[in-house]
Amino acid sequence: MALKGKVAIIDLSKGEVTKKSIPEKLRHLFLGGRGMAAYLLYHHLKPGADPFGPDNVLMANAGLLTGTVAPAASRTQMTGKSPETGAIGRGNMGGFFGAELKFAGFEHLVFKGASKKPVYAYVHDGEIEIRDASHLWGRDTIETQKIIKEELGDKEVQVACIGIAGENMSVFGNIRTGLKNAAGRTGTGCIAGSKKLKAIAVRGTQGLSLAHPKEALEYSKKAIDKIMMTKVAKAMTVDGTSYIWNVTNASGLLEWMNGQTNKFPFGDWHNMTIEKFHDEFNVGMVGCFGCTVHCRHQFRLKEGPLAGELGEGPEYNTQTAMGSFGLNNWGDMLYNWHLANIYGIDTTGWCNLVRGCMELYQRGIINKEITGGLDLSWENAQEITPILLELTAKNEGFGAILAKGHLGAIKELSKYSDQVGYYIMHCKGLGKLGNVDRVQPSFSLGIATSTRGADHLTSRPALDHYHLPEDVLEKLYGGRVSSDYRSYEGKARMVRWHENTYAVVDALGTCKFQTVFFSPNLPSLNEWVHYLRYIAGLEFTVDELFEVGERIYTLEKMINHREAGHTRKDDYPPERSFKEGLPYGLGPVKGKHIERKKYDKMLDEYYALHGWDNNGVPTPETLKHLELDMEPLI
Amino acid sequence: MVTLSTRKQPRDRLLRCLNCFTRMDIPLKAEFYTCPKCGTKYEIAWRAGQAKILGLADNSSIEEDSKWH
Amino acid sequence: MEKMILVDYKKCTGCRLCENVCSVHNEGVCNPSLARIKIIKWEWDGMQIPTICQQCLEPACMEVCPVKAISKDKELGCIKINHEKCIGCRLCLAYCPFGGIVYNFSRGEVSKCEFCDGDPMCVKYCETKAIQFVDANTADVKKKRSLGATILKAVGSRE
Repeated sequence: MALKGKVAIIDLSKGEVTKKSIPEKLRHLFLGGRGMAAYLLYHHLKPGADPFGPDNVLMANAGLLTGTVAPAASRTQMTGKSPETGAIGRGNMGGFFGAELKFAGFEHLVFKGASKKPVYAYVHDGEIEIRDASHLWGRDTIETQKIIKEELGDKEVQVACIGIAGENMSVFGNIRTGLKNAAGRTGTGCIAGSKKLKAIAVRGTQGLSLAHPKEALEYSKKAIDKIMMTKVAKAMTVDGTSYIWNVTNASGLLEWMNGQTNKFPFGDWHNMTIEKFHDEFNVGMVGCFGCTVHCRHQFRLKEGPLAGELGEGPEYNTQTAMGSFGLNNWGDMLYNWHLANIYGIDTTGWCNLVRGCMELYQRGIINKEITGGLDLSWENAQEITPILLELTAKNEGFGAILAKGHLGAIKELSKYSDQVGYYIMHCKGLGKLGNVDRVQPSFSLGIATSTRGADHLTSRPALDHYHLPEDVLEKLYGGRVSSDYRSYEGKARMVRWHENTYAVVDALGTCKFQTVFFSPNLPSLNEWVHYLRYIAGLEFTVDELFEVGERIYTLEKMINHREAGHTRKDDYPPERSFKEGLPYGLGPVKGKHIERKKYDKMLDEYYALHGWDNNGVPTPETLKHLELDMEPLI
Repeated sequence: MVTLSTRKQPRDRLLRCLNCFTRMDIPLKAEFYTCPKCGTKYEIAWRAGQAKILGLADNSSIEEDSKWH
Repeated sequence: MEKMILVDYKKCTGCRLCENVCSVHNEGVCNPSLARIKIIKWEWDGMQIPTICQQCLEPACMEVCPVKAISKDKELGCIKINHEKCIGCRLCLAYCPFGGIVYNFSRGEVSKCEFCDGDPMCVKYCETKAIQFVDANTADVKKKRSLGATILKAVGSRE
């Protein structure tokens, strides 16, 4: 078996490092990346641990294929018990960190305990050193990377680090590498901050042996050619993920003012398009390790305190987060986006909470007395956003409420009104993307049931929007699925299929954007069995690989059940999705919302497909079938 | 604009109407296009020879009543 | 016909797939440290520049080699190392102005770009054509055409 990346367990309290190989049995059950992460988290996290305390773990989990010639094999997951939700915390990032970690001989780093003083880990060619980081504490995410590369005397070192948001235990604290790559959601940066782990630096010159190098190269080229001939690949190479924004906006499927409207209320929507960005700011495109799609823009800020600085982005996420509560031009969106990256703040979640608070302000539920004198009106977004970012990063003033995340903010602000929980929208404590879910049952089910919380990436069935012929959908999903995105028919099957499939992608470490996530013509299970054969020397049938996804997902569900008591009651989208129909939009979407009875029936079907009981808990038979009841091997 | 895409996909000019989901065949370099089935009018943009919907052409998104209230 | 690998750094996205496929093809492992092409980055300035042996017409490596292990393949236009003669002194590595020679520590010998027997892997996998395998005697025309395209874009074609 090729790919012999090790697991390193680093006890920051004792300063001890233990290295272990991964048994082949675990490779067959969990692959690597997100799969091994779920396994390691389940067995190494002390049950009931305080997410901010030393019994929590922070892991860097590179994919099984990360660093190899599989297309876009760049991804790494950062994992732990989320301080934001109390359930599984996982954020996935691209860039070059994961590949370098693999070249250094490791696939997984498990940090336990906590250091008394700020430290960073230096991982190089099979060795791990813990080094002093007191000179780095308080530095932003870009400065930190620069200083570490300088002091190690090697510009090829890759660094993943936290900014002051993670240091100050803001639950939106993320882990960052490069100019913009981030393990963004669920507050893994905050876990690192609680351990006083400022950064992980990696440098490797060891190779990754392949099972069949010649076949791996040939298959990779075939896969790349197939990928690059799709329409969506071209869209991404030019417009990045922002290619989604235009059609979503035109349909009426974007939300502003915290979901009160789906028609752009802050001026001319033309100013929000990626075309406008191209005209005014774009200076180039770059990509992650091994990726031919290169979907990342580069921009230079022109005005303001960060004028002249180079940033990367935007993403669709930038427009639907930074562009959702009053910022109405690229200058402001990019400035605040770059500021968030410097502080190390997850923009998706943070912007969701900010717009929730702005609606509370609009409705007079909170006022200047509560916000510390800050005017949270939508009109004031340009002025208030940088201030709120700074306060959140420093965990001060009104930022101290934001820094608690959705659950904490609701708890804090509910004394002013029992409506607070309605307007601050979340699933399981995680905020959502600023797009409309309430028209699409598949999207609503996806964000409601995701093991992370209101996360679209866990199962986002973008294919639901393409009106594919129903015989194509039936073949793909193994059962009848309606080609209308407003229908409930077969959507439980669709969501569950995507959950399992994406769990495999995340375990492999290849980028989702080069998979069936975006198009039925992009690589899926049928192709990945070949990647695994030629690169890793592992044999799977398509069904066995699909079952690996089921196993990973079910184990995450078990972690959530154990740590946060998650059951059926936590698998619903925000109440607004049920209560309020969309005020505007084209014919297919206007007036639509989720229907409770139909949603419940869909949820029943979804649980049954996963082999869970009607309360959303995996049954003993399912656990046995998936071999999740075995004794730990690592 | 920086364009690095070097491949020509076969269906670069086909789009779907967002209202009635009919396939639309967009003439090269068109700036506007009206769906032949339902009459929804679109602004069209182009990325390296590939058609894309920029948005709706009827300005309904910047009406008076769409300001925040 | 002599060939050359022509680099257009503006088209490079820094993905480093070229490094990886070079090392797989030539060494059988995924290890950019052993690759004969390297993308040098100035991340904070947003620059990435592919660097590779320039296959010099008067190679410093060939001049300095004490055992005459380095010679020119006239047909392909590339400079090759004869590993039977090479003693691993690495003077070639020290004298090359471009870092074109790589020390392959896993095999204990030096290596350099030799055009993968006429079908360079890096060129094959480069999606943006930042590196191209072209006839050396008409390579300048390609660059001039790039300039022409820029001018055309600025002034437009004749009505």
